[in-house]
Amino acid sequence: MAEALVELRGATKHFRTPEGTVIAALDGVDLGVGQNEFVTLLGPSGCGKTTLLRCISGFEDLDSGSLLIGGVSMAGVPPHRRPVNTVFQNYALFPHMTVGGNVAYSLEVAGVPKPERIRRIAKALALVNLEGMERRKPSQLSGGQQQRVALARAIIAEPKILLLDEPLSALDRRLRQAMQLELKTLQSELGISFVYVTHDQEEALTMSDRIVVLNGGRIQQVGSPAEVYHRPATSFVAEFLGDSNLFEARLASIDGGKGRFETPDGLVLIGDAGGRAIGDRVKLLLRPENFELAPANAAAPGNAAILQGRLVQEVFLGTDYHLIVRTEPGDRIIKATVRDAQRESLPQIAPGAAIRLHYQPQRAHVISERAP
Amino acid sequence: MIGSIAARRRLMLFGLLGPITLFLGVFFLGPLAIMAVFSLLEPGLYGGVDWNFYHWNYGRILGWADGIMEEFDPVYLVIFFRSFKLAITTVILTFVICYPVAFWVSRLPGRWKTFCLFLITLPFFASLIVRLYAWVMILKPSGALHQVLMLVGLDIPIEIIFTEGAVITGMVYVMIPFMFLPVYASVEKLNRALLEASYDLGATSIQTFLRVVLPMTLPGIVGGSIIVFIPTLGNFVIPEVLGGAKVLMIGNLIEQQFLYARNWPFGAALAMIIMAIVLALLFAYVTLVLRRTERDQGLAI
Amino acid sequence: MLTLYGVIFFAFIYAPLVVIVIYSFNANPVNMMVWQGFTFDWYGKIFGLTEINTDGFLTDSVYIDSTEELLNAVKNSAIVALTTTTISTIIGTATALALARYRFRLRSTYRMLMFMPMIMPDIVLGIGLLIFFVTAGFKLGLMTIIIGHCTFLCSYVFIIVQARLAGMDRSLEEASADLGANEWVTMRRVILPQLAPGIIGGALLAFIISMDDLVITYFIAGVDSTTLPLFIFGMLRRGVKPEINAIATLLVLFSLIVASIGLYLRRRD
Repeated sequence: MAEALVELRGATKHFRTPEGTVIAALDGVDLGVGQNEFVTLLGPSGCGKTTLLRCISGFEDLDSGSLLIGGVSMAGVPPHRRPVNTVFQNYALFPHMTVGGNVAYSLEVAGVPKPERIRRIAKALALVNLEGMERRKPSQLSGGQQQRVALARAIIAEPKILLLDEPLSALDRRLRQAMQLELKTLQSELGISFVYVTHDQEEALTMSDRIVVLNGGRIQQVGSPAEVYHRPATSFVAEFLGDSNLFEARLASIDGGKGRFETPDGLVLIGDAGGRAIGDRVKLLLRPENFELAPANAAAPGNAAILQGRLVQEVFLGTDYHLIVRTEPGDRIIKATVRDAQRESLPQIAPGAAIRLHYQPQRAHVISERAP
Repeated sequence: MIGSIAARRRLMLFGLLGPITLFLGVFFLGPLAIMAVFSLLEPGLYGGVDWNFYHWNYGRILGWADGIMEEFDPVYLVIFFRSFKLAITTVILTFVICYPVAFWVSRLPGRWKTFCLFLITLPFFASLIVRLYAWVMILKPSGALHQVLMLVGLDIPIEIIFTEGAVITGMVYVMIPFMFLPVYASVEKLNRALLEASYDLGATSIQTFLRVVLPMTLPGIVGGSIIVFIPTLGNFVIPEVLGGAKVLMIGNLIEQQFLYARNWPFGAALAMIIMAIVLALLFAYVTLVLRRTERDQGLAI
Repeated sequence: MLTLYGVIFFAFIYAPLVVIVIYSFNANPVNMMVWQGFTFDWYGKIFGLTEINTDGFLTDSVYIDSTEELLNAVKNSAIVALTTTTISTIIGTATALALARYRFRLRSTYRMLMFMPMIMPDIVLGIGLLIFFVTAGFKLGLMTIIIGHCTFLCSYVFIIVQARLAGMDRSLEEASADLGANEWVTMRRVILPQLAPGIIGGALLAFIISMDDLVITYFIAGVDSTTLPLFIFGMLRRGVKPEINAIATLLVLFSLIVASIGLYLRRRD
């Protein structure tokens, strides 16, 4: 396995709030970033992802733990001597310099001679599709263009690692999606490792090779997009990525590898028993798209399990129908998503009418959570 | 080049802070300290000081001195009271004048607003002595005011100069920018939506003013008042130019001690009192007003 | 209605200045308050271009002034102002940078300390410095005036620069460091260029304040070193000559122009 580019061990950082309490922004975080990887740090505000990023770039110090970049310890190394570059959330373009001046700043500071600088500026701008903009001033550019200048500025020195702090958050939706693609392409073209911070789970799922989900300063899960989506390790991850229906249940019985789980209000769910013992408490995850709508009294096809309930509301969203269903028994509200095509083939259901949902037990993901 | 981050930062910090520390330490704190010392020394016979401890300077202010004068002579107290009176009057007048203007300016459209602010601040930078001289020119018996009235046909004798009225006029005139800026800052921050909410809930204009506007602009008012009060209290130029020898304030008294009476310790004592008043005011302001408004309005001033 | 009040307010503020300007053109050598026609003579007299003899008419005052004294006062004021501005701008800016960008224990103490010279009444500072200089054996002269002015102008520049620093985008400095620049380079290439308008604006205003200072200068100027405001103050006491209107007008004009530039630079962006 290739040597990790960035290695964080036991990273801990505390902050003192204005009121005087001490909170842990990072609490014993272990993280590794390899070569040519797109890693996303994902989590809600305050989860520590930005703090983590800033510890890597050197703008925050670790209270305890170690940070190695390229095998070299970064303890006591100031930001300007670390081999990482950052794309800031608000771009942080120098308003008193031109685009060219901004982009070539790191080269100027390092004493690279002018002809070479000019050449490399042109190359960097071309990479971000901003050819010929050297003489403009940042104030004359649109948000998207400014973002690219920030990008060009950060990659011109060919760092091994690029840190991106929610760079797309200020852009509108369409532009954001376009940029996501561009960033991903850029990353693989350049072969640089990206460490990307965002709170937008869609963004994370789209772009990452690996996602690191953080909450309260701790890592909840590290894995590929598919892994964290389909097999979340904790209920936090399950709820943070995508829509979810989470059920607290007890393993009541096992039948041929399949477990029969019962919720306190009497709902029965079938899922993979997976080496658990009778009486174990778990959380069961069923995503809305795992369900299929079935006609009222149809038999369950094959191995499918059944959930019964009454329709609360049905919302049409173009490609899908969202169904909000109140289970019987259990009286729980669950969300189901059914594809337009599938829905069309079934009759109309009035609110309050009985409804049946089928799901494949192997889709139900069982989470055994350790007590926090 | 090498060296821990902390050491570099410390070096940089010392480099940046060194000059001011030295300068203020020697030339600001030093003078204040020595003034304090002088206020407790005995004045020498021909000016200068004898280095003995002598607390009668302060006693003299209250009316006793040396044990030699047996009657209580409150002449200095009178001067103190007059100074306070004039200072407070100035504060009130400047406030009354500035408050409505602050509202007017804050309602102006963008560019006019900046322009007006600029115009109001500008005269502050014209020399004080020139502005005072202008008022002498206006207020003296044969002055501009008289000339203008003559033009209109009113031959009224103008006897304003060298009265308290003239001094107050001068002080108000000079202090207007000091009152205006803090008050304006407060007024500007006033959220119009709050006013609308007040009307919506049935309050009249007057009620809204008393219950919403005034309390919310209070920090600015208090700040402005203090910024006006302090220099007014210790002023000597304005009373001298516009008041002549007739209107004596603490500042004039101090000036006299230093340049004519040559009683430096007494002058120093007077100055110490002014300084004490200033510090007390500031302390009160910080602890009472600032903290409370921070709490109420949920923001740091 | 408020607008009317506003207009009156402005009239009130500018009226005295206008009065001086008008009377500076008054061609009446005897009673300068009575209008007698328009003339540039007084301006000429200041610059030594025209000779008007007023001494014979007014007998109660003693005139020791001459154009030379006036010019000397102007020269002194300028020297003091330039030196003071230079020193206080450098020191004030350095202090602002230190307090804005570093966290250290005495930070709020320093912040308070910086406000104190500005909040102290002039007279307290003036006599404090006087006692200090005399006791320490300094000779009163231009040097002491400069020191006195610096004492509160350092604070003035500090407050202006600090306000501007607070409004500056911190992430720019971080970006600079991120791209490989150490503190000095960042200061030079990012912070100071951004700060420049604010610093210059502050310097210009400090210059004007120094030129106009009366009270503190009054106490710590020596016998030979008169500044312009002191000169005018002296004139007011001893007896007023008509040229004073012209002097005053020019001074006001100068102050306002420089202050305008200073204020403009401060407000930009």
